[in-house]
Amino acid sequence: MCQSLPLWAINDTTSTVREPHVLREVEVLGLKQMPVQTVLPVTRLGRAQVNELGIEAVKDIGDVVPNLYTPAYGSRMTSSIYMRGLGSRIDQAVVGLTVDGVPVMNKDAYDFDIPDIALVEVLRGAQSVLNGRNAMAGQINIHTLSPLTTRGWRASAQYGRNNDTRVNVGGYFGINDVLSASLCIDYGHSDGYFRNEYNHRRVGLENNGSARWKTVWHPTPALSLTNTAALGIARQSGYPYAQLGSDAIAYNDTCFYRRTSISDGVTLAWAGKRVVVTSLTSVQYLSDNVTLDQDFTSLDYFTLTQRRHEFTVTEDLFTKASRGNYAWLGGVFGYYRRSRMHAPVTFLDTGLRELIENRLTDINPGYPIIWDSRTFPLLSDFTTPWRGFSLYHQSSYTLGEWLFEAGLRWELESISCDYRSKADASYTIYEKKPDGTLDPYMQRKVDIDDNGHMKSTFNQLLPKIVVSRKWRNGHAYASFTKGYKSGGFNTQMFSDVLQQRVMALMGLTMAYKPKEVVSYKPEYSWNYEIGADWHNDRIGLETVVFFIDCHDQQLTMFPPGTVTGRIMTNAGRSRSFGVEFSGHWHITDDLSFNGTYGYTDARFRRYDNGRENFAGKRVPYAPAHTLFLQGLWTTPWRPAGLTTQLNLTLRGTGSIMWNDANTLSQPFYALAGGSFSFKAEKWSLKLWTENFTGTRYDTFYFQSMSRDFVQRGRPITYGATLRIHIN
Amino acid sequence: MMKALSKAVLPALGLLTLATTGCKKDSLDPDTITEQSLSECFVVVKDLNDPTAVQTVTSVNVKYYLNWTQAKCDAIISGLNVFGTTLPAITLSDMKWTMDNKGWCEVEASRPTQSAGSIANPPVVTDFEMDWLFRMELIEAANTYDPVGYFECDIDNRYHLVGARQPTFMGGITECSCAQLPTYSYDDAVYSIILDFKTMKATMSITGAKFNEHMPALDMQFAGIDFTYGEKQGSFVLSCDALTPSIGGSPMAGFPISNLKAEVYPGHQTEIYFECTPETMPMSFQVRASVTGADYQAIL
Repeated sequence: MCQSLPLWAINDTTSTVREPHVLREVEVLGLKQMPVQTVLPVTRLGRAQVNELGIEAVKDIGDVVPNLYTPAYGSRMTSSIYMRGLGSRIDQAVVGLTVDGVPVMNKDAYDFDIPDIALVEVLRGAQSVLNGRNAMAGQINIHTLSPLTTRGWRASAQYGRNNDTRVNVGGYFGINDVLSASLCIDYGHSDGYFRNEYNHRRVGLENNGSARWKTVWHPTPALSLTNTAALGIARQSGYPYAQLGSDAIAYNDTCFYRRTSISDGVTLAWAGKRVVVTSLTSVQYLSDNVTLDQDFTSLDYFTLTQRRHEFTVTEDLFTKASRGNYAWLGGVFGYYRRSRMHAPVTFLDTGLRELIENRLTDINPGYPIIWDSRTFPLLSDFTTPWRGFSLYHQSSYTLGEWLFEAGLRWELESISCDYRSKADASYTIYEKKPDGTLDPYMQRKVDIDDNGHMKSTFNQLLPKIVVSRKWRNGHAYASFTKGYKSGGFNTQMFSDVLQQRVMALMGLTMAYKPKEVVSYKPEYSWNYEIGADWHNDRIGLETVVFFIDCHDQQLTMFPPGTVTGRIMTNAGRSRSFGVEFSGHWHITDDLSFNGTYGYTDARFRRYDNGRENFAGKRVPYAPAHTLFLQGLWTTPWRPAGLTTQLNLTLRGTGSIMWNDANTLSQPFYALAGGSFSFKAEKWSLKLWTENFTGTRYDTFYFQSMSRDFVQRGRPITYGATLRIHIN
Repeated sequence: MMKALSKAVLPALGLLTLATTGCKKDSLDPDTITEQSLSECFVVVKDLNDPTAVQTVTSVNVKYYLNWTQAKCDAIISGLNVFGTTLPAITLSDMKWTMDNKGWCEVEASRPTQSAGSIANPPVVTDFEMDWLFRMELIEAANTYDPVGYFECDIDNRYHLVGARQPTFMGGITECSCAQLPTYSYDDAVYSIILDFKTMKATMSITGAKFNEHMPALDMQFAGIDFTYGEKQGSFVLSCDALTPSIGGSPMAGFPISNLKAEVYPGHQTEIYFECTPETMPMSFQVRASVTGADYQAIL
């Protein structure tokens, strides 16, 4: 167990005896924290709060953090996080995520359960200097329990409505004076909250498991090595999408999501007399398969499969130190990520008839066409390597009550994509006789075997300036930051490329090359922010006002003069301004209130998709308001010496625009929840409920073949959670 | 710039850059030589001593070897027949060749070094000129090398030959006018023409045909067009009172074409005119295209 020393021990030059600096927990835990306490809008949730709020995954922290929206929809592959009006409209993330310092590089892997959370830290606003790509709106850092500070056995069992079950067991041991290890295993199951009326099966049924093995070695007081190996398995029948207005989930083809993820992160930290050097290396593997009834109806239009294997290596080497009034943190980061994907789309009978045959026959009724086979697979394979390298530095200088910070990051990325598209089919053109009979006129082949290579390189400088002042009970600050979301190739758009190719074989000129359809450049934002906080022994208040100017926004659009689908473009510009309030009030030692509120007005400044102009419209999927209220009361009731606690919460979100035209929306809604806990020294039992007023709301909307679909939010849920801790 | 459903061979440009920038190299390094051919060409042969004597020869092949290091070209012309006399394969050597910034290559030699095998009185070629464009056919025959080319020469100072590989590709400005709408001008359409000298019928294909701002670009085929020889050697006059176009192989009876006239001159300016009166629209479109081979540019 390392000893705790005050931070200024690093700067102690008065003693003639050089005392070795001992790494504090926070220096290992808070890897990228500046040596000097900086003023940032950050929400931290410790273990107690995590347990009170039932936070087990990233998607559970939405609304608790002002202006953070983390809807749960579709499957665990979908992690659309919105913060301050910025979100993931296309496959790059806007909020970075680390777990024990290891960056999760693919946002498709953001949604996983973490049973042993010690701390959730949400840094709001652009965090690009220290965290680089895809932290344009913020950064979420999750830290799990360390065997260094936690010992014994921890177990919990949870059961709730719809057979929602979660069981986890963790053992945390000290092997000797310098070595400790932990192993935490988790399993969860849910029957799902909805039913597919076509086949009467549950939708959203899932089985998930994870294991985390952490080893901490402190061979010397100044040296620390931590290895965290994690395994995650998710098996889901997902996608409870219902047609808007009908409320019915009814589709006939298979939908599921399966994922296996493995990661290992090694953190090596060494504290010299004046400097701490940290190396963080990770290896990550992701294998997943999403298979969808892409039309989500009971008709046979088309299905989609996306099978992927992805391998990632990251290395982050940085140092931090302080000397007198000056402190700094600087480092170098590099990564390599390689993804191989097989993504066939299969047109089925109804899809062939209504999307291809009937459309062409309507134009030329004298010569109808009929596909020779009633299934038409379009095969696509992609190999996509990413490479990135960055240098970063951040300095701070303290002058009395003032703190001046400046940072700069240079980021270089190279992304390429090797693709192969294949289709092998045929159709027959018939001549319609006067008596209505059809005579074969000509057979045409649809023979596509295209392969190609695309490459893009991006180069970004990301500055940051912060000025803050502290008073006895608070701080105020102003900041200016540039945020950045990476560019790349949207392989999901390849269906539009193939659509062009097929239509070209049928007479519509192919107007765009694959790279023009699927590639997009980086998106960047200028962030301006002022904030202040004040606190005393009982009350804490924080407020932030921000303005974000987003450029080169990544969008899809319909190019003029074509009917063959969409292309990617960086044609958009948006702005977002808003406020955030956070507060807590400990009325007594037994009664406290917490609350957060966020308001965001995010609108397009420029967005013409080739068919409509959406300038001035609200950015969809980003809620205008987020609200979180919590009352926590340790009651005077002491049955059998147990402590009892009542926890009431209210989470509010909305309104949310569902489409660019702002014609569909989800009004503001509030979900009331609560729990009543019995606590003893070594165990606790919590009876809980969420959305106990049964509020009806939707969490997601999309359009497929001119049909509107929504996913309903969870109905009333309730259950019980038993936790045991044995030292 | 006219787009076409094809692409130039980029490595060729790179190699040419190497050859023309004069970078120093070891004299022992072998030259970079590639072999291409313009196959299935037609050649219009005119007897300069008898202006009325004109014949068309088909299945003429020009195989050419490009020395990228020295920018020299050797060409072998085979399959020639002049008024009943089958000529041997003629090899023209050591001709200088260049490439412009649109990807078009050119060879010009007034008196090329030549040979025709060991025959008595071999034919003598003078004033040889050949233009070609590296091209890949992407759509109909995915990624197949399908060059465009024209050539001219004199043989024995008596016969003038004008030849082209089929189909001939042309690009330029297409203007579409209609009484009810403003004139629409478009420069991305590519016209290609195949002449069948047995039936004396031509097929014209238009890639990226777009006669109106709101119309999607279409690939059209006009088949069965009568043609005769034009006044200039190597030119042809196409005409058709009425035809049914095809799109994607499907006859489009609802969009009849009429009054088609075109003076096609491979390698030179070509004028095309036709009308379209869609059955479902109360308007008639007049389409005029002024196109040349030199304005046809493959996508790089």
